[in-house]
Amino acid sequence: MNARYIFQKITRAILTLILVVTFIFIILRVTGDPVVTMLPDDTDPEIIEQMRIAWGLNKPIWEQYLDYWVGIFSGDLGHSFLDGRSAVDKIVERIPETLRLTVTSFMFMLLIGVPAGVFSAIKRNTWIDRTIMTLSVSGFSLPNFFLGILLIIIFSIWLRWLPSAGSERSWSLVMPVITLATAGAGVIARFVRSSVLEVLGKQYVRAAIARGMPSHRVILFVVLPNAAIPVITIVGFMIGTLIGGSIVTETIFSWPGVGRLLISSVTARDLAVVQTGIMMVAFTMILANLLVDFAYFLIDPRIRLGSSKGDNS
Amino acid sequence: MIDSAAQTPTIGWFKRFKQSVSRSNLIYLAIAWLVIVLVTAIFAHFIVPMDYQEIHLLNRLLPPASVSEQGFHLLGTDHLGRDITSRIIMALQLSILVAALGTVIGAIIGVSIGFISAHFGGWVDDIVMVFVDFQASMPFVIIALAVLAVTGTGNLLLFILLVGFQGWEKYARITRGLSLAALNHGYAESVRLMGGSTFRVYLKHILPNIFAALIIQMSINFPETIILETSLSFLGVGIQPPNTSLGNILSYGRDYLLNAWWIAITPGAVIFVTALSMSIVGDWLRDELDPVTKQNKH
Repeated sequence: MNARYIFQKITRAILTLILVVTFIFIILRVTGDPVVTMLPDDTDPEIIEQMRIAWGLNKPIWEQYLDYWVGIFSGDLGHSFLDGRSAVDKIVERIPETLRLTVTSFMFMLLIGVPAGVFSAIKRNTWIDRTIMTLSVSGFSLPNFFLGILLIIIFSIWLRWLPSAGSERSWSLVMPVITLATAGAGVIARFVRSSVLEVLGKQYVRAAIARGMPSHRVILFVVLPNAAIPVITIVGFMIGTLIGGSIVTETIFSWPGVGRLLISSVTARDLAVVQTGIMMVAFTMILANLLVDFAYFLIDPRIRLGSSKGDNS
Repeated sequence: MIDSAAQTPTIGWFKRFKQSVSRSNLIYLAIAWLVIVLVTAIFAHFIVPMDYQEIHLLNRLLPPASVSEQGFHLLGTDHLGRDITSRIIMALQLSILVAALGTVIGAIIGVSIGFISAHFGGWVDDIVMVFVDFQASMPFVIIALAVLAVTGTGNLLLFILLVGFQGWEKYARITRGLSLAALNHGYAESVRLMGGSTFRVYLKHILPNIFAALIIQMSINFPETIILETSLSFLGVGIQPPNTSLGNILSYGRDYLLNAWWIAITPGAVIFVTALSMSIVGDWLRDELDPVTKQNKH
């Protein structure tokens, strides 16, 4: 067992976490006094001073920094100045809707992207390969706000099949999921293709074919497990893309998720909600990367057994 | 005399389709489109048929190819009676400007950081790589939103700088990796031994050697920057009126999908085709410039 690998990855995750929290703190505190930014210009200086005391902004900066950490651990990241509610509550209540959208899209992305990429690699340089790759490039060049609007025009306005907004009905998911998943499916297809192609050139694949292994078994049991390792990397990145894309998608389809809340908070400069949202995204990403690293560990015996870079190409 | 048409073998639609998806055709179309976009963006002020900010409330939401007392509206008018063709041309100029500046800014920042990381190594390198890894996993839109929430929207220069930061980590990673390889090659060492300064080694000797890889990365980064800028403008936190971006036009077109769907379609299509063309050209560049893929072309 290679305990050092796991230890190293966890250390790095914790380090990144400290970095993120510090970064957000610096951005919020050093770039300007949040009270002055938020209140109108002609506010009574006494009120500004009261606000600063109430928010702890009169303390020295390192004390504020410590308070900030205490706040994070006790789940208190300030209150929305729009309705006075806890910023954490406001975000948390919207997480289920965002998860419903992103998790479905994620599965959809893999279900389309992986088979398309494998198929494209097997049929390389044929018209099938070129068609899939053209579709793939088109997919990730298509901005999701434009795709979403096209879908609304076609399916809501012309055909009147699907609702253009809201999340109440199960078929409300259809258009947002297509909008969110298309670009990712394109990226994954392309990536799977190149990583399968790379494996196909290896000697162990030729050896398997030479031993008379049927080609579908070679693909399933030799090529795919070996091609999975680089694919996991890109899948990790895709989680970030999904979170970023969900902001636009939720805005287009009036989906009541975290992304839409984040945008309206940015526009209203509701900093407590913005920082909570961003911190949660960052934590999710750190966790996702850690999981990806563990997935390598489980899949790749070279990492698990701690051997040095052995590559039998 | 035999009819000449009968002699030419009739090619089925399927075969024609198969031939047309070959990449060589697409690359010409892509380059042609990019040239059109570039010329339009550079000469926008001369091409633009009418004032893009002039409001004519009586001529609201005219469909494409309609005529008003202002002139001919090829793409119709918007909710304030402004000519959409003119607005798209001006928006294209700004979007291309932001994307081009953004790409260059990202490259400069990333390359500098990559050089620093490769040159100093040790803990400097470790810290840089933690930042790089974090940036690679964090969706840039989120970081952009954090900054915009604090600074407020409406500062164009700040916005360009912000958009420019997108992708810095990819340049940094490429530069760092290739610089380390170059430093091992010996030619950099020999320049140093002959008395060349550190700056000279990096800018005059290493930079030209990694230039091809940077050009490829820029061709990937450019469409990403266009999409980032238009997304943020679409969300209302990017370019602010009276300036206009393709994302802004799309955003207000969204409110008129029922009775004027063309307002949203044209800017969206322009963004899509431009990003697609750039990706196709980028792929082609990669195949042409990258010695590794050129040798064992799949």
